[in-house]
Amino acid sequence: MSINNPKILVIDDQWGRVDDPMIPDRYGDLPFEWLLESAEDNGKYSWRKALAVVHNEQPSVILLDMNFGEQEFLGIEILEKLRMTFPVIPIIIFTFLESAENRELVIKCMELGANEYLEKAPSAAQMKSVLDVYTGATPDQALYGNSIAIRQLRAEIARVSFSGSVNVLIYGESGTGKELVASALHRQGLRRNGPFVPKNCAHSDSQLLESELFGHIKGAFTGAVGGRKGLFEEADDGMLFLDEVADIPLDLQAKLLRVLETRSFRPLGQNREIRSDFQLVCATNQSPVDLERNKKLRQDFYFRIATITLSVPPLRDRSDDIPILATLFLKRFKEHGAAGYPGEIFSERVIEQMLKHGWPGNVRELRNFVEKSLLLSRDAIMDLDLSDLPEPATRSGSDLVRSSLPQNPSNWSKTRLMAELQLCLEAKRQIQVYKGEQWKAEFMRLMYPECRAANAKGFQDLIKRLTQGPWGAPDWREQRELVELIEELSR
Amino acid sequence: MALVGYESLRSRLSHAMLANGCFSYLSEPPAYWRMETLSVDFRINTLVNNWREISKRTNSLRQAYKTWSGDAEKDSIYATTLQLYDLVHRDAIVTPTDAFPSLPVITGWLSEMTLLMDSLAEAEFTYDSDQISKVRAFWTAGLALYQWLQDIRFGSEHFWTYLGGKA
Repeated sequence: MSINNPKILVIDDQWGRVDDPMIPDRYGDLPFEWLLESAEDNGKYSWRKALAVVHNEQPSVILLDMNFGEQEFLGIEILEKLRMTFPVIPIIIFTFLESAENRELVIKCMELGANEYLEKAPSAAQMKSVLDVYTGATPDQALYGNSIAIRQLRAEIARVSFSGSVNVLIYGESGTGKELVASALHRQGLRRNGPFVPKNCAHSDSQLLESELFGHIKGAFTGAVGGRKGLFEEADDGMLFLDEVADIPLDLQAKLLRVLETRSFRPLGQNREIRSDFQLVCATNQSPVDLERNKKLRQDFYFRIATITLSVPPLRDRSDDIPILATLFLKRFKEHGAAGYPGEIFSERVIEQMLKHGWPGNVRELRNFVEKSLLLSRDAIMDLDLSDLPEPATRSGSDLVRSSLPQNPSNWSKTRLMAELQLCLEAKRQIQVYKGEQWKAEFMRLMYPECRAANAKGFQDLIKRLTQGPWGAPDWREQRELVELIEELSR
Repeated sequence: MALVGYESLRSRLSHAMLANGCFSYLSEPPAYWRMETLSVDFRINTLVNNWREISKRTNSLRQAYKTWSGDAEKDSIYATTLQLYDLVHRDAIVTPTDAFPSLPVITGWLSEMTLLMDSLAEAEFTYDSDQISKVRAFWTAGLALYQWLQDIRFGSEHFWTYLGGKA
């Protein structure tokens, strides 16, 4: 099978020349198709030329230089025109950051709709890791959108990245993409060559979390059969990202104060202090005001972790982005495993509904809705009604089942249970059309990625309830099909 | 912001000819030479130690030489630097202070850099063990030249060390 490498268009007055060896020499071995464009037209650099090339080539990503010979502001002009004409194609500013003015220019570019910046000229590995984010090879890492709110956020990310190693607190509702912000800070920051060490602190046991963060030596406590490096140490020269930071127990917050102040700590059972030079980025879904009110964070801890705060806007505050995000998610799903489904575009009616919907689950909810619409699509125009869903698009079918099962599914109403299971059944049928006997792996991948381990008990409850009946309404064959589906999935 | 009269030439030399040009083609990764988190000595040592690997990229060496030489002699990095030196001395707003590098210092940097460039051309842009000492001299002089170009940018931290206002 031939592999179509994503097209990367480099628009650069020097490295974009077809006879310049930089891109082929340094990055030619990467799995991308490189298109070089100097934007020169009759001896002058021209945004029209750049636009024409993008129009003809439809690249996956554009790397855009800012300096075009003596035409100082042409990079900005090209960016503005490209963003207006091609709102979905990711544009990465590819430039040297020689001076404060240059950095301000990059921040300006973020405000004008650039997705990210990449300082010239990275190693091949770094180039690949950034492009993988925007070509979908590393999914769910890019902060997409073109609204004023998201542009401002990207500008703030760039500004914080330039400012060195300050502690950052990111807050935003669930599903807004706080980890994406942390990841963007790492990719663009001074510590990009160091590790990115994420840790979700939700519902953590204090002792366990302490051991994970500080590390321990062999025999430090009962059961410590081997030494373990702590996350503080692992993040040396890089970034430590603590998600759901408000769930860190108060007693542990007190122990972290000194580490944050001195970047020195002592692993459990060890006498010697270790120093680790890491940047700390934390995230929470509660606003600083709520954190204060709910006494979830010690004040002294809060002041140390929140040198700078970044707020990630909810999707309802960036509704301009909804069609763009929906298109991108659809493209990604089709590129990565769901190519056989007929859905190509959303009907106007659905787009209108999407724009009016409140999206309490934010971008995650939208993504799930797109996935579900594609899986259930019958032709090119997808017309799955938001209001027809059992719970109006707050979660995907798989999320509904997954999240509800552990909470005792025997409490579900019969209507809800059947609606949700029929949704799964419909998805299974659709997948079977394209995957035949291989449907199960695909179904599990798309709908039930975690169900085996997490929800075995829940599935058993469901099966029990289904087999006990009585159901009354549905066709017995359908009922049996459902039971078989659930039994198979729970194995 | 008011710009000094030589800024356009300084910017072209620093950005297009050195950073985006000659230096990046002779470094791996291309931006390694300007990693501010590493000391100058450390960077130079690494670039010297990696020279055999770096010099395998014949096309890049050729391009470095092309940028160094320019389309005509007056467009070479050597000639452009001297033009800039002259332009700074004739600037309408500022005048060089005693700390400003003298012409022999600047031509000294350029001569050290020329040695490697000539050597590359002689070896037809392939590796030669004689190049090693010249690589060290090239980067020592080159990074000093680049730093000077940054320092005389209006608004830089050291601007007023090298330049004063005209009476």
